[in-house]
Amino acid sequence: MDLLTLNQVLNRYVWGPEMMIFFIVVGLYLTVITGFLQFAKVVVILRETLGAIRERALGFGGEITPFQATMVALGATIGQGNLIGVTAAILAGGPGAVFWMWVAGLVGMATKFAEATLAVHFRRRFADGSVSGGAMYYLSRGLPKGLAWLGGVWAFLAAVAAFGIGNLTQSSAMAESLRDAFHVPVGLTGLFVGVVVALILAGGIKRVARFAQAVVPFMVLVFLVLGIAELVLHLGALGQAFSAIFQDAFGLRAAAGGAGGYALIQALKAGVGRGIFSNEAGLGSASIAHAQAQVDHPVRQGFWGVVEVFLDTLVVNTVMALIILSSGVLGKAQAPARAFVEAWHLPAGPALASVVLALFVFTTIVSWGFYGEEAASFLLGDGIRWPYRLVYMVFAFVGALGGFQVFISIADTLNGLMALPNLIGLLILGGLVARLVRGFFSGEPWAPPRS
Amino acid sequence: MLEGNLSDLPLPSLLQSLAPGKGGLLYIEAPGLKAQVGLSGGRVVYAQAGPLGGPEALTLLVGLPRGKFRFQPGEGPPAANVEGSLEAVLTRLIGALDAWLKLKHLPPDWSYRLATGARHGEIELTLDELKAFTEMEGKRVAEALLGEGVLVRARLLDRLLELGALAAVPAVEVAPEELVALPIYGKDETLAYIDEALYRQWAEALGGAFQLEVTSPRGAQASFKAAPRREVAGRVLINDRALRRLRAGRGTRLKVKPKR
Repeated sequence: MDLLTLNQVLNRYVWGPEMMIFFIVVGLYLTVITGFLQFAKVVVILRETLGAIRERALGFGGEITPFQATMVALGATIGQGNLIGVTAAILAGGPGAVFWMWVAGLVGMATKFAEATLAVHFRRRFADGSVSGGAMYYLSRGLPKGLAWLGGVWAFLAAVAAFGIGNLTQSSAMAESLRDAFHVPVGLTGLFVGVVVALILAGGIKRVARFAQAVVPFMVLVFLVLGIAELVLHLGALGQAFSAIFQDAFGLRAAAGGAGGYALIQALKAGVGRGIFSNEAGLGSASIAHAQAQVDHPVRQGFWGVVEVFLDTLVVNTVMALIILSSGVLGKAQAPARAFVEAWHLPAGPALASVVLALFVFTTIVSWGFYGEEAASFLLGDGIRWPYRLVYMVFAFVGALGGFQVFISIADTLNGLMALPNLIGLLILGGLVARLVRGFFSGEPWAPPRS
Repeated sequence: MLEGNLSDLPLPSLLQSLAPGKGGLLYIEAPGLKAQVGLSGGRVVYAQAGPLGGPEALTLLVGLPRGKFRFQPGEGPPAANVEGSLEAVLTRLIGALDAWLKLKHLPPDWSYRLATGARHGEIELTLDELKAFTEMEGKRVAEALLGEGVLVRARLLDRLLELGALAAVPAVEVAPEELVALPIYGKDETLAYIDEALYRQWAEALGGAFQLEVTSPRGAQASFKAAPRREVAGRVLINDRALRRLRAGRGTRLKVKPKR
């Protein structure tokens, strides 16, 4: 079996139904062990996060604020998967996919909560006050000695996958989108992305955080304003869209035609897949950003993990899904990227949608650049940071030019593989997450693990 | 102009050396106390210490162990409230000084604040002592003595200090801090946490454990036992329910003052 065939086999597994089941099982386990925290403590979570938005510039004497850390994480998760990915999921699984996407998102909230909480709990603080953390740290520091190597494996996978999911794929999507909408030469887009990304990454986490704090809320707001305006245009079709979501979720409409079971499975696969992969809950990637937040207790940052999934999957994805369902593009056989553009009927809608897509993609490149750099420095030390940034910059440039399908495919597999050590780690560390939750709600101070 | 400190030159000696001159006004300043003594025609004619005037003011000032003085020659006293010759006044002052010297438990620094003593609660106080205790607790020594019957008050204070009902502690003026509220959860609503560095600083200034007086922007007040916590610079952590009673929430800027 050659490398490419092996990659294809692995890719099918890591993004296949078996892995999805693993995601859901871990999410459900964490939901139960934390006392259904994402539902039972919803008021506290909202008060501690969105309710405390006026404190967004206020940290706890550390490097970046909890809000900034979340914006870095959201910058990575909100990407083309929320626009073209959601479109593709509906095209493949029908309207019912949206319902299962919501279900997966609700379960994913517990997973992301656990990741953010563990990221802060096991992070390392260095003599110069800087902080490093993420899945590689909670796996290597939190798991029993015999499994600590999983941290290194995860870091390797993340450092390489960043070039694919975070860089080549995104840069290519941005270049294509701007070329189609505004005839911008792909080389120019690549040059711009490469240089600006390098400039942002050169400033370390503080600059990445300042960038994310300014751009991510802006892009989400622009998308929501445009999206809601678009939905107003199709107000009459919204009721039908919701009805289709719920009926198709259980294969009711297809059942009338004798294909209920097949339709249900298609909706489940597409919806759960989107609900899992769009918010990255389970991959462990966002934990790198959350670890940087200066908080008094890991659980407080965990709440932001819940909100991150909420904004990504239940807000952005839902608005996008409703646009697709109410626009009438469904049923016309076409590629997801094409359907995404044609779903917009606002004046200059497709062009504005392309700008939004470009913004979504650009923040993903920046945040993943930081993730990859952190993962690489975990393996090879701080000396790797600058070489990594330079290579990342070059990839952002060449990614815009297109091609590199083999590398993208391998990086995609490695990206999916990140979930394996991470989910194993979350299963083992679930008890600790539950203890941290109990301690937080008993007013106990946080006791970081000994170095 | 003559300047100095009463710790180097006690009041009777000072007045004796100043009286033969042209006269003038002697300004005395100690923490919590401002006083003036007027000299004219070789006599002490005026004395004022806070609200106390005349011989009572002089009785208080002769017991003051430390205090800066400044003599302004030629400046006339604003009024005349002390009678008698210089010798008569000095004799009275020396008598008062003897009485002060017998009070062995008064602190040498009258800027000290009177806190509840370690044995408070174990001892039985007379009615006068109890009244004095209630009146004097929390005040500086100088403020506690400022009242009619200076020596009686001084004896009562000395007794309360001897019994351990009151304790004289260095008075440290700790400025209130504006800290941002952060809710914590759980059952204990009596504790409030501040950053461990600020806690150390305030505990050192106040000489031990302390309370936090918290005032919300809406004027609601509450008091909590202070405790230190890591990683909470600029914050005060208060139980969620207690915070709501203060009509405040997460992110509210609260005025926080430490108090022993």
